[in-house]
Amino acid sequence: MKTLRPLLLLILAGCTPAPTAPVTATDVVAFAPITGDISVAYLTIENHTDDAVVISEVSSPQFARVEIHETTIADGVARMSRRPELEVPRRGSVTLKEGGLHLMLLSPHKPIAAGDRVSLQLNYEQGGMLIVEAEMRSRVRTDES
Amino acid sequence: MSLHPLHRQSGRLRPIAAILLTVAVIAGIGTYVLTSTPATPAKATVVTPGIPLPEFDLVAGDGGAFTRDSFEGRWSWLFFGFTHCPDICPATLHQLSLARQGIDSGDALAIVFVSVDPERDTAEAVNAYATAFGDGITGVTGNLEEIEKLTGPLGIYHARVPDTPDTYQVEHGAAVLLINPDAEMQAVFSSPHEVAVLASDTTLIMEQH
Repeated sequence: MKTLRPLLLLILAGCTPAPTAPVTATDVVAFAPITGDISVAYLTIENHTDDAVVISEVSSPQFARVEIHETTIADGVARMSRRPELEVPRRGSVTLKEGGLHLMLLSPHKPIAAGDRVSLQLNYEQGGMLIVEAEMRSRVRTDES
Repeated sequence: MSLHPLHRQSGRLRPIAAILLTVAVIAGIGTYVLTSTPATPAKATVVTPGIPLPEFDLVAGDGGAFTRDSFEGRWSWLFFGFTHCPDICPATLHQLSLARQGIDSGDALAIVFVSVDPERDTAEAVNAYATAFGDGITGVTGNLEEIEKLTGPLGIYHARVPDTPDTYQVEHGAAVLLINPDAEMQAVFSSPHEVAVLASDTTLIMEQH
């Protein structure tokens, strides 16, 4: 029995599933400019850790500036405000979607069109980062996606 | 003599038959009332009678004049925004173009996008922006004074807000207004907007006009 226990533990250790990345991104959607040069990106960020994660900076090799903004509608008036950071709660998520939080991708280094691939780097206040890739889509869609 | 259970004294209905008849009559009246009473829109605030639009002098995306007369002869959805708006304006224009597909006579319904940022939004800029979402969408711009002849009476707030030292955003009312073929405001849809509700409420209001 004494020799069996360490053997069992060894077998069980081999059965543990691979750890998930601490922070993941899903449903990434990015839109090329309609006119002008403002692009926008939406995504859901999931925090699988036991501590809140604060995204303090977003950047992209394709754009001079990426900013976090939020559309709010109060008393019927749409306002857009810049957010200095984005907190993703412990074991929780934050969704950036139309009519709410979104990333504004500004001053592209070269003209952006639907089909172009872009990369977004989300830096955490605590150190570390998440890299997200997206293909730019046309704003003009014929389906409801 | 023994009476058959179903028979009472001749010529008189059993009480239960009388009750059934009464219920049937009430049900009949009820159905008539329910089907002939007009349904009400789920979300739109209908204005009856419609409020006549004021006179104004603006420019359409194709460079032609856009005035109160431009609304006559067909139904329109009127929405205010600006082309440097990255989120709510494209989202609303997309919702409106989808909603229009959900209306039987939708092809005849115009979508009008009026800029509240005429300094940056030239006729070419609003035209490119609006028409990117499909046919039958007109971008409109012009002098701020003329734009305000429209936004003021319609209760559409707008204000410039600095963003970076070089740029600004424009806060603006997010309502979609339904204008009837007599160039009167007939209904207001407050945001957030839903495609299905825009379609069904507008269909109802057009039918009841």
